Amino acid sequence: MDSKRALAVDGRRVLGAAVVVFTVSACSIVPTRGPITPEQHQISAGKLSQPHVRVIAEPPRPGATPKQIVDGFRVAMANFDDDHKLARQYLAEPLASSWDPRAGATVFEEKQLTGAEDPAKGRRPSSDQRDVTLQGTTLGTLGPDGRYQAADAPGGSAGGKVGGKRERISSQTFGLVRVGGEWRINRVPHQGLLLTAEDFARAYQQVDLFFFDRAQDVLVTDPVHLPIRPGEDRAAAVVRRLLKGPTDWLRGAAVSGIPDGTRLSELLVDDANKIRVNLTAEAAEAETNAERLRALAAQLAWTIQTNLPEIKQVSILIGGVVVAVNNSSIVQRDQFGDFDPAGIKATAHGYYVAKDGRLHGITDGKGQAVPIAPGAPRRKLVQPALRSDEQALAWLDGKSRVVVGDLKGQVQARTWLTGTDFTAPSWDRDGKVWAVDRLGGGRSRVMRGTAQGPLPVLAPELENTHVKELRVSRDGCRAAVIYEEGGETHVKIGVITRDGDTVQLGRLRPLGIPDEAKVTDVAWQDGGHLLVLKGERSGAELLRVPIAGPDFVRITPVSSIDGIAAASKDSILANTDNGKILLYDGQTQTWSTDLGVGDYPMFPLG
Amino acid sequence: MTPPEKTVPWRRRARKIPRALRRGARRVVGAVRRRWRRSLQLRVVASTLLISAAVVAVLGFFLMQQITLGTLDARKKAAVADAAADRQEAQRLLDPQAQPESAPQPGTGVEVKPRKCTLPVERAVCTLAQRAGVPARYEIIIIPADGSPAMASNSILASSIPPGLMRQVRSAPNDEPRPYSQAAQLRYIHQPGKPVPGWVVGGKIEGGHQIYHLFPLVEEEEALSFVSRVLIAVGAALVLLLAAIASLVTRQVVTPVRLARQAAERLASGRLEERLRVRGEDDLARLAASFNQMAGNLALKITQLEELSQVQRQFVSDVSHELRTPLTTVRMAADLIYDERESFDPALARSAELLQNQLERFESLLADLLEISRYDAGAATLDTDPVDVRDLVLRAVGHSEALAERHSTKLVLRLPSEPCMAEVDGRRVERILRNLLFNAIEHGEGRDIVVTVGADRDAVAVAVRDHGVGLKPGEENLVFDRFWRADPARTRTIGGTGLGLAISREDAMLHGGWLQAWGMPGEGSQFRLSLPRQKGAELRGSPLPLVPPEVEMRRAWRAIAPVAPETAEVGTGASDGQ
Repeated sequence: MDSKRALAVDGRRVLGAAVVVFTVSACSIVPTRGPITPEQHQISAGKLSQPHVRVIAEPPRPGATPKQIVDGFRVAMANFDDDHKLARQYLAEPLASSWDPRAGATVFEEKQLTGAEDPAKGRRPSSDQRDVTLQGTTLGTLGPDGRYQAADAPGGSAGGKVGGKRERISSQTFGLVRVGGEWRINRVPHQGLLLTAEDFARAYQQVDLFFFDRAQDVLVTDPVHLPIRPGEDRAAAVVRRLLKGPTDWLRGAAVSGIPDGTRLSELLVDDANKIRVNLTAEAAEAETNAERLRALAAQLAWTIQTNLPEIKQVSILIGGVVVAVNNSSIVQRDQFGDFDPAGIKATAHGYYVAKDGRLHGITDGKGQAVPIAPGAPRRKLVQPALRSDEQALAWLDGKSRVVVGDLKGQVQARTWLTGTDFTAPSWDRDGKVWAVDRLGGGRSRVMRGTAQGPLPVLAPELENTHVKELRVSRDGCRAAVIYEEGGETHVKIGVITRDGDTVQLGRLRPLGIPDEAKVTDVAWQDGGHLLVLKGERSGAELLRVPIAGPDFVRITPVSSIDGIAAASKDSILANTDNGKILLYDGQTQTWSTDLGVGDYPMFPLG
Repeated sequence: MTPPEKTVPWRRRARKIPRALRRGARRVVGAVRRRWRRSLQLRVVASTLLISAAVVAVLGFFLMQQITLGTLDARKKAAVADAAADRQEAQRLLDPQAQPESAPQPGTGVEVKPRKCTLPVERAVCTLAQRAGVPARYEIIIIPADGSPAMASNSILASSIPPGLMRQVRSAPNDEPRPYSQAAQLRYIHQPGKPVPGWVVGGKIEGGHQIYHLFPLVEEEEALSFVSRVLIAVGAALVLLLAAIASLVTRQVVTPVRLARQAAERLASGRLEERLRVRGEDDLARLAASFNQMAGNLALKITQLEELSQVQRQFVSDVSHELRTPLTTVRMAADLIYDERESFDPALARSAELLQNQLERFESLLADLLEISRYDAGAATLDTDPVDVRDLVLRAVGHSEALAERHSTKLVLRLPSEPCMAEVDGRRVERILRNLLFNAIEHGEGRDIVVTVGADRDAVAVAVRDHGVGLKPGEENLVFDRFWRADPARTRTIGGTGLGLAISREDAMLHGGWLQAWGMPGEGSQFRLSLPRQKGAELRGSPLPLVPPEVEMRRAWRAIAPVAPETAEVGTGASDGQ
């Protein structure tokens, strides 16, 4: 009886095993029919998750020569994997502990880097000290605040020196010392990193921060470069940098609506691409004032959504509590369109002066005449500029007068500025006309005209120069200047700071364009980019130059361009030297050529 | 002084805890073992569980291995195909003759973006990483031949490449088209200390650049671990199911067997009417049928035997009764003859005396026979009163004194000072004691007889000790048999009937007490009567030892002596001290 039962149990066990086998094999059969189901795919576009490339650094090899050590150190400096712990291995004490990789960076043109290994001065080759010198071209520097500053461009200077401040061709000398039989660096040319242009392009990304102008009227773009740290949340890095405030360059010109000392306590991105930004309690100060809160929200929304396009909604929390802005807990960039850093309405028209001296507006790709003030001279409009509301026009009457007239022609044109030799006028956001009066003898005076008369502008750096052109940016915080000094032409951008009634234009910084001397015209494209026209006639070329960055874009012109105006990245107006008006569409990267015949293309402001 | 007093009980308690635990564990183990020995079902279920678990484990292991091999093989093929496709692209990008992106055609207004992924190696990694998609299906590491820095995509660490594979690829010829691959742990910067299983494919392209593709196998691992979890769950469920089935099946078999056992037990305990239910025609039904047949036969035989025994007992009773009437007549006649014996000649007088004696014996034998047949018929009843057992002993001793004197035997009494009250039938107990005393005097060979009375809370006991020939081993129970005699050649001197001890035992049992005997050849014997103080109470122990204390002590002495005769005294002294 026992054996019979055992047999029965055995039989069941075999059956059970067979059931398992059949069940498992049935699972692996792929269905070939079924219901239609809507699928969700997480949009993961944007720079956040784009593949990127890293250079792989290696620790110093035993027995490496001084040159190999310097080479290895330079590779390690370009690697951001472990906060430059590896780079520090190349250094000897005390430099190893004092070296600060966050102190900024110097960007070098790699092609011109050469290494020369010499024994330290006054010592024999067998000694325990060496110098390795790298000859190179400095392209620019990155400050600790993340702002890229281009070095002075070649071509505009003779002998490679500009103002005696920065050498274009420079020697970077590393001092090496033998430590325990191995060479280590004990002297570096800069506190901070030394990177090639390729390293810089690979390891850093440009981020546009947004702050407010002093009138809290418009957002000011402040481009910075942040290192790409693998594994770091890019959104958090961007927000953290925004909370630190504007770069030193914009100090006094741009302000942040986010209270000082505010830190990011938490940042979460959910599946629906909604971001939750939790700020520390310091930000609660902004909650007391609706305008201030709006400014804070606008800065966050613009900064996040500009740099992370995949983010669709922003939710702001202060100390863990959701903040409602405009009665909505969800903030989007579109809600703050009035603060658009472009400075003008997206619907703003382009204009030009037709052959008959009349102003023409461009609608639907065709020029249309606009009547000008009856009191205006019959003469052709010279160097006209449009006010932001497209209602008023400023132009040069002769060389010595800046005249402002109503676009509708209902108010008599009036003279706002009188002097000797004015540059083309440029409107600022406050409705004042900026122009530089060339006093002769290499002296200039920057002036601001109002209906009541001229107002002073302090511009000590321009006083002893011959200014060719001055264009105030649409956000009113910066001005692009072309000027001649000591026989050299410079294109620089200065910052307009206001202290009470005193307005100052200073902190002129180079753009780093090659052959600056050939620059004939500049126009603001948006808060962070300047359009530069270089060369003349058939040799003319258009450059889209970032105000803080090494990567300028060449826009190939169709024919020889004489003058330019730009409203945004996507729309550029130009006139050829034979009087044709051209429109460039950045979306399709094409030129439209049959707009009309005329001169002086322009957009409001800029 | 106080700390030791406090700590000692503490320590003692602490020592008690593990002891208690051990005791508990032992009890549990004992219970389990008992259960294991007694339960057929438990054994069958346990062995089913064990065997099926082994089978399922082996089966699951092979199944898992097959699934793992299949999954990884497919992934590996896809990985090698990806790597081969990328190789061609990398070859094109790293070709020193290849020109970068073609120059813009004039007139179309193409924007040129300089300085992004300008180095060839960088461009190659960038392009291949883009082909890997977002999130990356694989990562790329290229080590250029010219000693310029290696490039990696995203956040993969170069330490993910196994050193052996790197050596192999490095030493391969430059035009080696075959890639090498190896399983490895992939390490990422953003997950320090959390390596991910992966597959690394490395190869060389023209120009000697080493190109590595690193494929993470996280999804495969998740899928496989899910499958293994499911397999484990299904296996466990299957094993439990099999155990449950085995339990159910065994129950179907065991339940009738158990019923049969219970029936057999009841049958053994005397319930002869016990029968099993017969259902169906299977083996169990046939077992039940044959059991029932056996039970029937047994019952029949037992009834027959009982009837026979009854008839015999009735016969003895009847014979005893029937003998009494003629015996009474014979007695009366014998009394007359006896009274006139002095007038007879000496030989005749002697015959008259003999007749008288034998008649008395005949009478007492007949009385005893009647008494015992009363017990056999279950007609004996108790007539209890609270009695001082000492009085009964004294009365019995008084009755036996004449006989003792005749045998020149001294009776020594050891009675407690306080009364030993017990609810007993005085007449029967006195008869027991008398029987015991007679027996002792008969076999005591003239030596002292010690009568001891002992009492405790629940019971009283009387021990009668003689120093005669004693009993042989095994005779302790035979002495109570009817008409048993130690030496058949010996005649009864006192004139006992041979039924005295049998009746005494029946009397003791009627009280719920014990009558036990001890004896050793040459040591004499001792009979002990133990009775409960309360009528009907159960007797748990006796206040007096069955074996006399002096014998027990001598035996202990003898046990020590052969081992170490010289130190025997010392040893006892020590043991006394303890």
